[in-house]
Amino acid sequence: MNSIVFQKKQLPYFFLIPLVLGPFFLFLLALGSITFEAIGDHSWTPLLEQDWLKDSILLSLQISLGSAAGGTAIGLILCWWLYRYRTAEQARPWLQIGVAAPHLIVAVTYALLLSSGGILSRALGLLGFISLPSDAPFLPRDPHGLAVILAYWVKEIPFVVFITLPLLQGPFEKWVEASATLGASPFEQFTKIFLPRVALTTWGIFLLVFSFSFGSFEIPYLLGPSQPLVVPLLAWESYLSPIENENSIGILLAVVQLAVIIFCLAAFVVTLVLSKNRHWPSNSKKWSWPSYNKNTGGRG
Amino acid sequence: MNIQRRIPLRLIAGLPLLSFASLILFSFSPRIPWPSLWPKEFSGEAWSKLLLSSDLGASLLESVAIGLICVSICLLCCLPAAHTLGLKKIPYSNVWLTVLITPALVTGFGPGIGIAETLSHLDLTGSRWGTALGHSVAAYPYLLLVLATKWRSQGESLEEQAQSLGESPVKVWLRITLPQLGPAIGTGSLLVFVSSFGDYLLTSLISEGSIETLPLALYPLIESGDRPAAAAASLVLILPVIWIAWLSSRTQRRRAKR
Repeated sequence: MNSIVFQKKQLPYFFLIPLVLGPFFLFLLALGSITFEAIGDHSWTPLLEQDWLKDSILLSLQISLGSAAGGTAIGLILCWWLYRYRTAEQARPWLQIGVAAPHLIVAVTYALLLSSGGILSRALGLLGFISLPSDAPFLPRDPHGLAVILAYWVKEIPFVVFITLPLLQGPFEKWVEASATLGASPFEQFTKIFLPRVALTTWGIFLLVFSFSFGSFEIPYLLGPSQPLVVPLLAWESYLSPIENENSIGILLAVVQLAVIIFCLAAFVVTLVLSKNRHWPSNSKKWSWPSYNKNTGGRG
Repeated sequence: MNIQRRIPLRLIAGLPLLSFASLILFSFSPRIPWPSLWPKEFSGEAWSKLLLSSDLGASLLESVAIGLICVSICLLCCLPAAHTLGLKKIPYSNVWLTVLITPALVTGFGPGIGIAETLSHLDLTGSRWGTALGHSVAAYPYLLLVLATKWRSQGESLEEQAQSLGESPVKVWLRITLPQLGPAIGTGSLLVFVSSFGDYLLTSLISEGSIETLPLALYPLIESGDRPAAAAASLVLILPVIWIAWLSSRTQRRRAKR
C-alpha cells in the first residue's frame, strides 16, 4: 500500500524525466563542457596576448549598450503611446512579427532596405538628397556598428512592448484614471505612474537584451563592421578554424560571453532582493518609498 | 487625436509591410538601376532556383526536415513536463519552470559552442538528428512555457469528470485533453519550428559542413550579390512567422467576440 502511495506521489516527477534528462541535460553539459575546457585544457595566455581583443570587446559592449538602452527606451515610449491611445490590440499582430522574426531575416531585410542599393538610398537619390549610392545613411558595416544597433531595435522594441503591456492592466488603469481626474498631465502620468510601475521589469528586460546582444551572431555577421570584429564573430571564426590554437580561443571567448550572461543574471537577482524592501505599486499597498524602519530591519 | 492614434500604428505596421514589399520586389527583379525604385523587367528566376534547383531546394527540404524533427523532440519532452508543471501540485513548481526555461535566457555563441562541443563528444555532429537535437535545446523553452501556461489556466476538471464517468485515460487524453490543448500545441510547435528553421549559428557549428540548411545557403547568396535569390529565400523563411501572427490575431479576435 505504502509503495503505491509512494509511486502516485512520485509520478509527476517521472513526467519531468524526458525533459530533464534530454535537452535540458544537454544544455547543462554544454555549459559544463566549455567551462571545464576553459579551466582545464586551454591556456588564457594566447587570448590575452591578442591586440584585437580589447577593441572587439569594447565594440561588442558599445553595440550591446546602444541596442539595449535605445531599444528599451523607445519600447517603453511606444508601449505608453499604445496604451494611452488604446491601440495595443491593433498593433499586436505586427509586433508579433517583429518578436518572432529570425535575426537572419531582420539582417537580410535591413540590407535590402538600407544598403547602398536599398530602398532608402534609392528614395533619397530620386529626391535629390544624395548623388551616389554610398552617400546613403545607416549603411551596413559602418565602423561604429550603428546598422547592427538599428537592426537589433527592430527585434527589441516589439519585445519590450510585449513584456510591458500586460503590466498596464488592473490597478494600473485605476491609477491612471484617478490621476487624470486629479488633473495630471500625460507626461506626469508617464513619469510618475507608468515608469515606476514598469521600472523593475524594464531593468530585467534591459539586462536580458544586453546579454542577448552581446552573444548574438547573425546580425553582426551580415551588418557589423569587419574591423574590429564583434566578439561573437571572433569566437565563431576561431572555433571553426582548422588551427588548434585558434579553436581554443573560440572556447575561451564563449566563456567570456557566459560570464557576461551570469553578470546580467546576478545584477537582476540583486535588484530583486534590494527591491523587496520597497513598496512597488499594487492593489493593496499605497505607492510610497518607505523610510528605514529599525524595528523591522528596514522592511517597511 | 486621430493622428496621434495612427502615427505609432502606421509605423509599427509600416515597417513589416515595407519589408515584405521590398522582399517581394527584389525577389522578382534581377536588376534595378540606381536610383530607380521600379524594375524594368520582372523575372521568376530566383523562385524557380529556390524551389526547383537541386541545391537551394535541397537546403529548403533539409531545413524543413530538421525543423520537424526538432518539433517532435520538443513535443515528446515538453508535453509530459508541462503536464506536471501546469497541473500537478509539486513543490516549487514555479522554480522548476524557471530553471527549465533558462536555455531561452542563456543564448548566443557561448552556449552554442558548448552544445557543439558536447554533441561532438557524443559523436552527433554532422548529422541531421544531431543538428535537430542541438536546435531543440534552444527552442524547447517556448513550447514548455506555452503548454504549462495553457494547462494552468485550463485545469483538469473536465478530465476528472470524464474519468469519474468511466472513460479510459487514453480516451480522455484523445477526446478532451488534446482538443483543448490543440491551439497551444500548434502555437508552441510553430515557435519551435521558427526557431529551428531560421537558425544559422547552431547549425553552422554542429553541421560540420555536411548539412546545408536554407539559412546557411542564404549567406553566400547575399555575399555574392544574388539579391533576388536572397530575397526569395528570406520570404520563405518568414512565412511561418506570418502564420504565427495570423493565428494569434485570429485567436484574439475570437476571444474579443466572446
